[in-house]
Amino acid sequence: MKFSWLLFPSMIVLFWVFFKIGLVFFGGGYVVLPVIHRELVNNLHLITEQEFIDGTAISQLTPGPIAIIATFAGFIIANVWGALIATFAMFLPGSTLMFVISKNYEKIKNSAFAIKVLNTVIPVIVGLLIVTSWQIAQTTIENKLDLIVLITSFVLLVRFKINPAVLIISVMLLGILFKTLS
Amino acid sequence: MKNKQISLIEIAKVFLTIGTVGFGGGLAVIALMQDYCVTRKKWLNCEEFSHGIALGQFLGPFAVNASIFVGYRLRGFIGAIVSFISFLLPSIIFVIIISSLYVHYHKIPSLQLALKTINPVVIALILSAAYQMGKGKIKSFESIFLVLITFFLTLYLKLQVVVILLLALLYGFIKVRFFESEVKQ
Repeated sequence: MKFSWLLFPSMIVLFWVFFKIGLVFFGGGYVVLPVIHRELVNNLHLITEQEFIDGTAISQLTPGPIAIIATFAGFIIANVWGALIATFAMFLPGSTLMFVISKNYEKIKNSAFAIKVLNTVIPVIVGLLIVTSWQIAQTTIENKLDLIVLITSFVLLVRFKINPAVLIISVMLLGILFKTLS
Repeated sequence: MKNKQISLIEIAKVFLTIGTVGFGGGLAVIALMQDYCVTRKKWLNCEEFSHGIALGQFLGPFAVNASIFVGYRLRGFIGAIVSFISFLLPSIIFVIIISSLYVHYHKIPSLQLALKTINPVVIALILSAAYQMGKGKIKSFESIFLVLITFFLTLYLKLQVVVILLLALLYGFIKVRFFESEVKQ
């Protein structure tokens, strides 16, 4: 735990950090990974690289959006209150906008402009995701076996559409089995 | 949709269910939501639902936004609050429970080993997200250039992700606004 929930001002800081993440959260759920990685791991050092990886796995294991990694990160930083504040702060900007959009749905349903703008951002998000995986790989891929697991997982996910939660649990179990046998 | 009011409890029940069994992130959850709200309950039609998803892409995860959209269509503001909270509540509870277990037990050597084995899987997961997003969309010279310039900006200029995303949005805005004004209705 990096700071106590008793320290009220730090909760405001936490709120602000996640609120900012929520503000740049456009282009679908996965964009939150590079943003959180850069902000919380590289810049603010609030969570470690390993915690980020485990958090990503946990948000895939649990139902709901990948963005729920904010709940995990908040918990690591400041326990249950941290988790709740981080989640609330991160979802606040997007949800508020969606309330407004839903309210004015009849007026804007034929506007293709914003969707087109959003489409031009997609290559950038793809680039950011690749950079993030590259940065994580540099510290975590230690041997040939890791690389084989990476490539196999990628193929299973992309070609065979395996459920990520199933994949994570199977590899975890295989890992335990393998280590106890050897 | 207008003829009879759907009760808030009904909305809460459906979204709690989707939130509890919605494994697999974004698109998988959307498919489930569509199955419940469009196919089974017939709360809204397919076209309306797909508009909701498209409009939900602006800010935040689109599954969460789609839940707000459906709730709002059914019962206005209160409906949206109910669907939003019931959709997220199960995942928040699950994650808090697992996180507290994680904080207490992740130092145990055997568990640490198990967690380490999934490192490559998580990388594959992020890469597959990149692949799925880019598939079919990254073909033109321009889009490849954008991917490469993103590498350059993050790895060499070490720009903040926030700044890069805002620059991309600005670029998209200028491009669509001033250079793609073909046949407007």
